[in-house]
Amino acid sequence: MSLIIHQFKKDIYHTRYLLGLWVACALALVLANGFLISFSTHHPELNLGGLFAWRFLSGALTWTNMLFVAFLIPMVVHQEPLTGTAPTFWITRPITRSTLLASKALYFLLAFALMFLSGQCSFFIHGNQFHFAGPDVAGTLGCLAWVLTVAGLAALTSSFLRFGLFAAAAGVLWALSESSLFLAFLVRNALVNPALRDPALLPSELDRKLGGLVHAPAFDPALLITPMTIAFAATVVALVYLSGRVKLGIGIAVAGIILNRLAYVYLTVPLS
Amino acid sequence: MKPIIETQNLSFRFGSNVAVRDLTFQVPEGSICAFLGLNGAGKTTTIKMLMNILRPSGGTARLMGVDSKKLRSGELANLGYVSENRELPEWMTVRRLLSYCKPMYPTWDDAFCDKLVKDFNLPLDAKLKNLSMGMKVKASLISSIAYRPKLLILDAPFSGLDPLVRDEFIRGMLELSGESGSSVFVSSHDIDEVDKLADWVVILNEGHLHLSESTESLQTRFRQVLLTVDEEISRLPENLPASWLIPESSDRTVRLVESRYEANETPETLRRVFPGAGELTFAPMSLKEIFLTLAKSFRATTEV
Repeated sequence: MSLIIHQFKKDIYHTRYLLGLWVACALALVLANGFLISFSTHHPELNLGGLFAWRFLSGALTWTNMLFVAFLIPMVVHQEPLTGTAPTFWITRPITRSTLLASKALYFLLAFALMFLSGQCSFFIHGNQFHFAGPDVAGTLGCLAWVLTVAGLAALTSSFLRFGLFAAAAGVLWALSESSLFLAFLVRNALVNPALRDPALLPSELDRKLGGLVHAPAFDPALLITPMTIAFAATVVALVYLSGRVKLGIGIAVAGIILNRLAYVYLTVPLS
Repeated sequence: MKPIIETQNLSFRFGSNVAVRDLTFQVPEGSICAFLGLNGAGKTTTIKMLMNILRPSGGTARLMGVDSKKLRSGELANLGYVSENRELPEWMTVRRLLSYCKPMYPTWDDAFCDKLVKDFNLPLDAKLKNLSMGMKVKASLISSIAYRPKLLILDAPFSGLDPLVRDEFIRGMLELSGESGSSVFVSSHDIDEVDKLADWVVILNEGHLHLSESTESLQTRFRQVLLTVDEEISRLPENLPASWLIPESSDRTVRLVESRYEANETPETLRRVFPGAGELTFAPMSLKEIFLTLAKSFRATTEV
């Protein structure tokens, strides 16, 4: 246990400046959330510009949260890279793989907590009140999925450069798959729905008409897809840390992505 | 002889290239072993297999009686390693590096560590990334010997170091070996530094084991031979014994290195091959001279 904490403290110390900055941004998000809720609930008619500004700030800070995770987790994972043969420092030291995994898991938990809490908490500066929105299942799962996906990708790469390249490639593929799925969805529905084939249909109306077809309103597909992502990412992280089997890890990650996309197709495109 | 390192048909392939082939040798416990070979001989690959950084394509390696593939934290706590690239967490200061390593080793010796820091004149509060190559090697060595490991493995630790740092490094190594009875396995392609230290030698050539024996036995069987003959020799005879290395002649003088010197037999054989031989001189050779002879002999064989 002491070695786990020793290792964890080392990672905290290594990332202390970025962590400090992140905590500051997280606090700013809590404040921004407070202002945003305050504006929306109590004075919706007043100062529309202010409302948009707070909404923009809140959105930007949420993205910043994700970026901090994407920077800090690889930084911590690559301190003791799990692939390649050049980085030999930790491999030849008496640190067990399970100790390393446990210490990194503590860091992932910290990242998750910061991301989750800053998104869920609001501070109303005028009333000097603190508000916790409560456990939002989709939000919680989303944060955990992001943290573990970043950790999984970091565990499969040996440096930040490689991580960045793989993340960029994965992002492009993801965007392409999203576009392809949307196109498939559009074509499929246009074939069965004459209203969508009307050449006079305006893009804004198309959006509205498609909105009702995306998925059954009673079920949010994220509630199935996100846990699936979490399960695959956690498996990859645990497998690579405990056994060092990177190729198998890559295989599981690819299988996870394919299953994720298939689930997305089946859950979001109605079988009309 | 109880071996601290033992390999059996150890091999490694990079694709179709065989970097190390059927290496079988033993290093006795308590010895300082020089692991020698020209560049590309397979020294680093072998060391990486010993340290379980690379998985052997074939054969086995045992360190302190444990299969290298099964080295766990218990064994690693008794094993020191300074890599060729001196991989260190460069963001740390020397002080932080040492305090980071300390809890991992139950046998960490603070007094020994402090002494080494003082002897090496290491700036404790400097970041590793800002240190010179020599200082980094010293920091790496301290972090690898302050717990008095049973076995210290050093991969080309002297390359790029100035003579003063080399000397300090060697003193640190000797201190560990002398005080704790630790075994040291040090690879090098330059024999100067280990010439006077090593009591065991393992020499590799193009992935093959050339020899593994004590320095004493090696120095007993290698002799620099000088002989003069009656008439000028235009060409050396064919089919000289295989144990005669890099034979050469000029005017009436013949020089060669006998790698299987026997006080009774060698002079007789020389006189049989060179019937007009006059005075024979057999000079003992240093480890450096032996290694250079072997290296030249390897090159000559490759060129042929």
